[in-house]
Amino acid sequence: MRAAGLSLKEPSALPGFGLSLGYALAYLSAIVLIPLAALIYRAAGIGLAGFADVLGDPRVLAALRTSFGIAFAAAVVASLFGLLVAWVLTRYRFPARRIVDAAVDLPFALPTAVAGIALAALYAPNGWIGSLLAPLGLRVAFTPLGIFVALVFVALPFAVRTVQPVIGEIDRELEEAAATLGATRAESVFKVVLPPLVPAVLTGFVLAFARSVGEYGSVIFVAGNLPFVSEIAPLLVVIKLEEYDYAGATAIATVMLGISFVGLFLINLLEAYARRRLGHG
Amino acid sequence: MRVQAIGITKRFGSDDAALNGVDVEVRSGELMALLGPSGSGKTTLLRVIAGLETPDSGRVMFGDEDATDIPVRKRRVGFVFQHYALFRHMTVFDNIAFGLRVRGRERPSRAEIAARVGELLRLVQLEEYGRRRPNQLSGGQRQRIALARALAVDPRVLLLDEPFGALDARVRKDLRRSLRDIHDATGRTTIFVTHDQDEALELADRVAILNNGILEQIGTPDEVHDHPASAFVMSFVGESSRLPATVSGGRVLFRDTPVPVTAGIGADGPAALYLRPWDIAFTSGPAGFAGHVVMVRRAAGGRRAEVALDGPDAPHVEVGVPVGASVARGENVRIEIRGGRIFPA
Repeated sequence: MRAAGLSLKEPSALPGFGLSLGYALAYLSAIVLIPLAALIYRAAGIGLAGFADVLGDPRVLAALRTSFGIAFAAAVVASLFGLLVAWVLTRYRFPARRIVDAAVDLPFALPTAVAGIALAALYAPNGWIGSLLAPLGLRVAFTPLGIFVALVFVALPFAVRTVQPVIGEIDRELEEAAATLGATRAESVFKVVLPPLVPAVLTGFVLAFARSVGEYGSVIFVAGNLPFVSEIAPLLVVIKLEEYDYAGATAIATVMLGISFVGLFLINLLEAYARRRLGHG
Repeated sequence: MRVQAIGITKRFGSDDAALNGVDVEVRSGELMALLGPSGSGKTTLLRVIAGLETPDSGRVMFGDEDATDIPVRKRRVGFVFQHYALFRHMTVFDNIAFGLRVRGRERPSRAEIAARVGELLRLVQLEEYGRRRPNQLSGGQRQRIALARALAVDPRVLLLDEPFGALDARVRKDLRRSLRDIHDATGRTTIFVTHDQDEALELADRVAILNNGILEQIGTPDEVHDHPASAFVMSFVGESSRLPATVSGGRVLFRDTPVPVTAGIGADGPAALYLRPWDIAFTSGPAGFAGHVVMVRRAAGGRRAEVALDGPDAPHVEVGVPVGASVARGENVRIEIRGGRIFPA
């Protein structure tokens, strides 16, 4: 038996492996790996002591906490809400379904700065939604809550679009089988329908989280950007750049990259485990 | 449990009715086949009985109870799907236990569930497979598990939709036998849908034949095969050839020659003469009809010769070839008609 995937020299009935692998690697290098390597190279210039200095800055730590914490919360909410949206769009037929379906993609297309300004205007204490929330003592714009709202907005399409096709493939017979066995609708949804969706929901979560961590444009307009409160790490990178502190900027970026990589790697492992557990191949 | 479908009519959208006033009574403990070509409404009827479809009109009775308005999850039917519909994120054990675990307050204890699942795994001869997942099983094994899962809830009636449709010939045969054995051991009223007449005739106590949403005939395999109630049943069940004939004065004529058919003769005029392969024989005398052999093929029970008769329209008939007789393609032969059945054209 030969190991599948290691057969570089095996002639194949469907040629093109060498060409496509070569092209993919070259492309990946030029667009992704080389810039990342340059980033790490620049950051390495300041040495370990320099890193310790940057990371010892409480303002940097606060910004990292804000960025990752709120991105995580936003990705969780976007995943759950996205699952619901995808479910409704796939399972039910209602008059404006196609319009709603198209609207889900708007955050993809909209320049995120526009989204940030729109959200800020809406949620400001004198805005349409903000003026309704103000009497309840709830302030959204220019607080961490504003960041959360903006991140859910930009992350939602990722969550919806990864889960939607998987919901479309669910076999109706599974729910019918559950019903004939005496399951209530809720039991059928939670025990039969949702468990196989977990890997897709996790994939959507990964994309939403990654998008949220890196989001800049919409957040800075709605966050208020108070150091130690609502300042995100990408903004801090820009601030450092404007101060010509390139080493500091690349150090923060490298730390973000490292945390993201570890986080995404762990979630991918979890997803692979869920896939096996749930009997996908 | 006796099951009755009374005057079931079901229409999907604006299409022709999927079911048009169908009455079927399944006796308690009976193994009944719903047989028909695709689009005949047989699966729809099964789903109406299960409660997975709501009939536009008509009633479904379980014993003396009107089950028409009982929702599917309270109807206590076991349903087996053609493509198994196993829950692939659960082990085999959990699949079978599912129906016991969703019983709310009447949920049996863990030990009772384990005992019941073990018993069912033994019944379907897959005792060692409880911890596997459905994707680690073959098609035949999956269908056995689906059967065990359906039986776990102690259903009042067991319903199977083309249960052997996705399986290869050998596995199909084994599974048929298992179904028959399980049915005989438990005595549970069972209804299965099939488009395969061999399956229906071999397995069922009685067969209900549907066509275009209408019940054509219901009876034992012998009755529907030997005494078909309509031309459709005659042509759908068993092999047959059709010849254009005329009825005149109580006699059946094919090409002005009387044919020895006496039963079911209607009014004078054109009619359809249906012949089983053994209603036709080769003959050496000058009597009979001349033709030539187009093809000889091997059928399950023997050989069949397809003979094209000389003359206008050159109709083809299938003739049973006796054991030891030699018939070759292209050979000129004479045949005689020894029986058959006549239906309105």
